[in-house]
Amino acid sequence: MSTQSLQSGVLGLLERAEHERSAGESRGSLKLRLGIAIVALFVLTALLAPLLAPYAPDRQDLLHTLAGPSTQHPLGTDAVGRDVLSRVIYASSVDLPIAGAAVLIPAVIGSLVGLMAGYLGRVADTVLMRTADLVLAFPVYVLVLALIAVLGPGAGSIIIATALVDWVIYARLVRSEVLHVKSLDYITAARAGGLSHWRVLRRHVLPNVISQPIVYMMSDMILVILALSSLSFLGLGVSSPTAEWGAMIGEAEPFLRLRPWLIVPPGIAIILVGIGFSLIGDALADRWGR
Amino acid sequence: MRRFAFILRRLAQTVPLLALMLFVVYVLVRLIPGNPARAQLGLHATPARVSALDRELGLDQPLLRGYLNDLWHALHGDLGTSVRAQVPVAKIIAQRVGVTLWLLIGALFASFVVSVPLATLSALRRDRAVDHTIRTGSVLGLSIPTFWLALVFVSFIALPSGLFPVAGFGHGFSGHLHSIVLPALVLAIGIAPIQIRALRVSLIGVLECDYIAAARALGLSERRVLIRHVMPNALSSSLTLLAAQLGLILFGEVIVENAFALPGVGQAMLQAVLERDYPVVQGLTLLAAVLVIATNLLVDVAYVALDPRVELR
Amino acid sequence: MQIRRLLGLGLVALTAVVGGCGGSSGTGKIAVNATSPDSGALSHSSIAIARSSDISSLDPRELNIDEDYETQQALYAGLVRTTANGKSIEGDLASSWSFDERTLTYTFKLRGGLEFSNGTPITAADIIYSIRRFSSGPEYGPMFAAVRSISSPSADEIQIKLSRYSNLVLVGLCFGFVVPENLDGMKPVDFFKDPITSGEFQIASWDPNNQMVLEPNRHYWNAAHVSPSQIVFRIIPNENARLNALLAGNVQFDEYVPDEQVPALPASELLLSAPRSNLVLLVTNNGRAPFNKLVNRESAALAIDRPLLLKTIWRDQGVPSQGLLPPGLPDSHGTPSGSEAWAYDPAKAKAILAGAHPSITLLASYEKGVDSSLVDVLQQELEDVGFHVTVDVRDFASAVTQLLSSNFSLFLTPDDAFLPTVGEPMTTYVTVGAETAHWNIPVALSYLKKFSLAKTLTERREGGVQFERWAHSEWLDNPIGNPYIYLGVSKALRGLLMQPFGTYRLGTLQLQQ
Repeated sequence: MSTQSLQSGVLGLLERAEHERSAGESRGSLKLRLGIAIVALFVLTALLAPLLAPYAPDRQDLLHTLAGPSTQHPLGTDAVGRDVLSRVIYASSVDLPIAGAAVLIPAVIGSLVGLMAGYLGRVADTVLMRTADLVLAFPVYVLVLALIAVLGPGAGSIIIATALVDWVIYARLVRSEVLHVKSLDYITAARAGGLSHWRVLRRHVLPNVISQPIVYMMSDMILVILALSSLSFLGLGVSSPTAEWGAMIGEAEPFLRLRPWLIVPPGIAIILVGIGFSLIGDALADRWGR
Repeated sequence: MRRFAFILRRLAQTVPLLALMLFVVYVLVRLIPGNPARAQLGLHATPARVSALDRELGLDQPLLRGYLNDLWHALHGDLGTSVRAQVPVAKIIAQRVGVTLWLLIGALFASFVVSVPLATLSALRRDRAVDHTIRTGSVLGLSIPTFWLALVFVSFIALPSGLFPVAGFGHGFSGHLHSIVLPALVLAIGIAPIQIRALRVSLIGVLECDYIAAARALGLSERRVLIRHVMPNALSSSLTLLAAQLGLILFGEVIVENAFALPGVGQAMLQAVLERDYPVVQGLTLLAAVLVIATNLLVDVAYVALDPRVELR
Repeated sequence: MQIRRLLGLGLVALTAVVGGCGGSSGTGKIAVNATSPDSGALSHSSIAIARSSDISSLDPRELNIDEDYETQQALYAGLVRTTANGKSIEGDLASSWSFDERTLTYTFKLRGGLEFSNGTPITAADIIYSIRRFSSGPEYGPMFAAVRSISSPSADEIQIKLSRYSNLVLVGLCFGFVVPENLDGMKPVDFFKDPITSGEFQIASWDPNNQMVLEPNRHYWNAAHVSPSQIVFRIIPNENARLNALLAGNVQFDEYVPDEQVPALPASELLLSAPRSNLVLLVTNNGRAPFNKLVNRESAALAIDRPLLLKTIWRDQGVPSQGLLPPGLPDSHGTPSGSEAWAYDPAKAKAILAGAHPSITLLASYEKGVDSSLVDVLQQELEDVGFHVTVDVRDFASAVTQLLSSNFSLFLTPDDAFLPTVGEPMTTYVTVGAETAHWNIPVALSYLKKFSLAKTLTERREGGVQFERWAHSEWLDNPIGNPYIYLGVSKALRGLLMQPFGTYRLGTLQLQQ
C-alpha cells in the first residue's frame, strides 16, 4: 500500500468529516431550536399559569369527578373534580422553579470551586479532587430519601441533597476544562502581558469553560424533574393539594382501571419537558463537545 | 508493580471513605427534630423503651462517641434494629438483597443487550435514518419517568395478558426469572439511553482513529475491525459509565420494586422512609453508598488491570 | 387499619352479610355467597391473603390495628368468643358458663385436656393470668371496671365476681386471649416475637413486612374443624398491587379493596361487601389551640357536608352519618334527627370564626375508607370557612406518634367496632380517644358506666344516645361518615365467615379445587 493511497484515504476521511460537520451543524441547530422552543413553552406556561389555566388548580367540583374530556374540561377532571388541564399548567410553575434551583445552586457553587482549583492548581486542586472522590461516592437520590425520612416530605430535601453532592460534578467538569485552557499559549501571553488573574479568568478562561457545565445542566434538569415527580408520586414530595405532575399521576393511580386516561396528560408533560432539555443538551454537546 | 501498588492504594482509600459515609449517615439521625427515639417507637413508646432506644441510637452520648460506637458495631455487622419489625437491619438486608441483585443484574443485562447493538448500528450508520431513529428513541427513553412506565407495564401489559406475575418474587429459579422480566425491562429503558449515547460517541471516536483507518486500508473487514479493535475500548468506557449511573439505578430500583411488589431492599427502603424507621433508613443508605464505592473501585481496578495503556493517577 | 378502639365487645348485628350464609342487601355490589364449608370431607389447602400492612404487635395488650385483631383471634383462644355470625357469644376454652344475678358471679366450666401449641397444658392459672393481664391494659381497663375478683375454685372452673352488674365483662372476655402464665418467664417483646398460642393456628414463619405464614395448631381443642393447611399473609401496601395479585391468582383474598377499584373490577371476580360498623371521623385535639375552644370545634363540624361526601367520594356506598358511635350494631341508635344530627352549615361556621383564620394541621393515614380524595375535600371544606389547613399524611404508626405527642389539630381516621356492642367504641373513646384528644375523662367514664349498667337492649340503646348527645353538645370529635368496606374474594374461596364488624374467621377457609 502506497503513501499516496493512504494520503488520499485520509483526505477522503477529512472531507467526509467536514461535509458531515456542516450537515450536522444545520441539523444541530434544528435540534437546538426545537429544544429551546419546547423549554420556552414550558417556561412561559409556568410564568403565565394564572392567565392560561381555565380554572384554579385546587377548585373542586364533587358533582363532576372523573369526567372525560369535554368542552368545559378539555382534559377531563380528576377524583375530586379538579380540571386536569389547569393542574398540568400550574404544575409547570411548581416543577420548573424547584428543578431550576436544584440544578443552578450546585452548578454555580461547583463551577466556582472548579475554576479556583483548576486555575490555582497544586494544593487547591488536590483538595478538590480528594473531596470530589469522597462526595461523589454518595448516591444523591438515596441521600434524598434519607433526608426525607429525617426532615419529612418536601422538595427541600432534593435541593439540599443536590447542593451537597452534585456541585462536585460541575467542579470536576470545570476543572478539567480550566486545566486544558491554562496550557494554551494565549493565556500565558495574557499573563505575561500583565493582566490580573481575575481579568484572565473572566475574559479568557471563563467563556471557554462554561460550555461543559451548561451541557450537563440540561441533563441534570431532566434528572431532577424526574426525581421530584417520582418522590411526589410516592407521596414524599410536594404536599397536597399542590398540582405537580408526579403527584397527579399518584392521585390517578387508584383509578387506573376506571380512568386509565388520567395518567396520560401529566406523563406526557414530563416526557415533553425532558425531551426539550435533552435536545438542547444534545445540540450543545455536539456543538461544543470534544 | 506500579499497577499493583495503585490497586492497593485505591483499596486503602476506600476505608476512610466508608468511615466517612457512616459518619454522614449517622449525623442524619441527629438531624431529626424532636425526640427520634419517641418518634420511632410510636405505638410502642413506653418510657422504658424510649430510653433503651435512646441508648441504642447513641443519642444520649456526645456526637463523636456515639459515632465511634456505631462504627464499631457496623464493622461487626451490627447495623441496628428495625423499630417497626424489631428485627436486625442486617437480617433485613440479608433476606432482601438477593431480590434486588436479581433485578439489578437483570436490568444491566437487558440494558447491555439493548444498548450495544443499537449503539453500534448507530455509529456505523452515522447520520443516516437508522441513527436518527435510535437517537430519537434514546431521548424518549431518557425522559420517560420510571414510575409512570412501571404503572403502564403493570396495568396494560402484565395484567391483561396474564403472562407475567404482578407481585412477588416467585418460587425457584424460573419463578424468579419470570417475575423480574418486566421490572428489569422498565429499569433498562431508563439506563440504556445514556449507555447508547456514550457508546455511540466513543465508537465514533474510535472508528475515526488512525489505526482503524489503517486496518481498513489493510483490507480487514468492517466486522472484524469492530470486534477486535473498537469494541473493547468502547465497552470499558461503558462500564465506567454504569458505575457512575449506579446511584440513579438504585433509586429506580426503589420505584420498580414498589410497583411490582418485589420484596427487595428498595421496597424496604421506601417502607422505612414512610414509616420513619430510622435504623433501617440508615442501614440501607449505608448499603447503597458502600455499593457505589465498591463498584467504582472494582471498575477502576479492572480498568487499570486490564488495559495496558491507561495512565495511572 | 383502623384504631380498634374497643377492646370489648361489640355486638355487630349487621343488616346484611351474616357470616357464612350469603346474601347482602342494598350494597349495590355483588354479594358473594360465601358458603359454609362442605359438611363432608374438609379440603386442606394453603390460602394466601393480601393485606395492606403487617401486624403491629401480637401482644393482646396491644391490639392497635385491624390486622392485629384478625391475626390474634386466629392464634389465641379465650374463655369465650363471638359466634361466627357475630350476633352472640359462644364458649371457646370454656365449654359453658353461667351467671348468678344474686352474687353477680360468672362461673366458666373449662374443657378437658386443653393444651398450648407446644403441648403444655392450659391451666386455670394461665387463664387467670391472661385475663388479669389483659383487663389491666390501658385500652380495655374500663370494660372490666366492675370485676372484683377472678379465681379458680377448682381445676376446671374459673369464677369472676363483679362488684356491680356490667354488660361489658362477658363481651370483653372475647378479647381475653390466653397466653402462658408469666409468659414463661420471657419479656413481652421477646415472647410475642414467636408466641406459644392457644387458638386455631400457630406461626410457622414470619418475615416482617413481607410475609407471615400460619399453620394449624394441632393441640387446639377444636383442631379437627380447622380446614386450611396453611395461611399465608402477604403484605402488599400498594392497593393496585394487591388487587393485581388477587386477579392474577397469587392470593385468594384481598383484605381491603378501596371503593374506587370496586366498579372497575371485572364481574368474574367476586367481591364481598362487608357493610361493617365502620366509622370515619376527625379526632379533634381538644387540648390545644384552636380546638381547645368549643366554638372552633363547632365551626369545623359545621363545615363538613356529610351527605355530599357519601354521595360523591363514597359513591353512595355507605350509610348516612350517625354520629360518633358506629352503625349496624344491635345497640346502635340509628340516624339521629333534630338537634343530634351533625349539620352542614358553612355560613354559620364562617360566622362563628368571626374573621379569624386559625392554622390547623390535618393529620391523616390512608386506611380503610380514608384516601387522598377525602383528604383533599376535607381540606377544601375547612379552608372554605376560614381555617388554614396544612395536610400531614403518614403511615398509621407514625401518625399515632404525632397523636401521642399532641402534634395535630385533626386526625382523619377510620374506626370500627370489634365486638357486638357500642360499649366497645365507647370504651376506646374514653381511653385512647380521651388521652389523645383530651376529653373530660371522668365525665366520659360516667357515661360508660351508665351504659354498662343497662340490662335490656332498649336501655343500652338509650345509654348510647345519651353518650352521643353529650359528645355532640361538646363537639368533642367530628364524625365524617360511614362508608362500606370491600374485600376482594376469589371465586375459588369457600368457607368465608365474615363477622359484621369486619373481621373473619380463618379456620373455616377452604379452596375449591
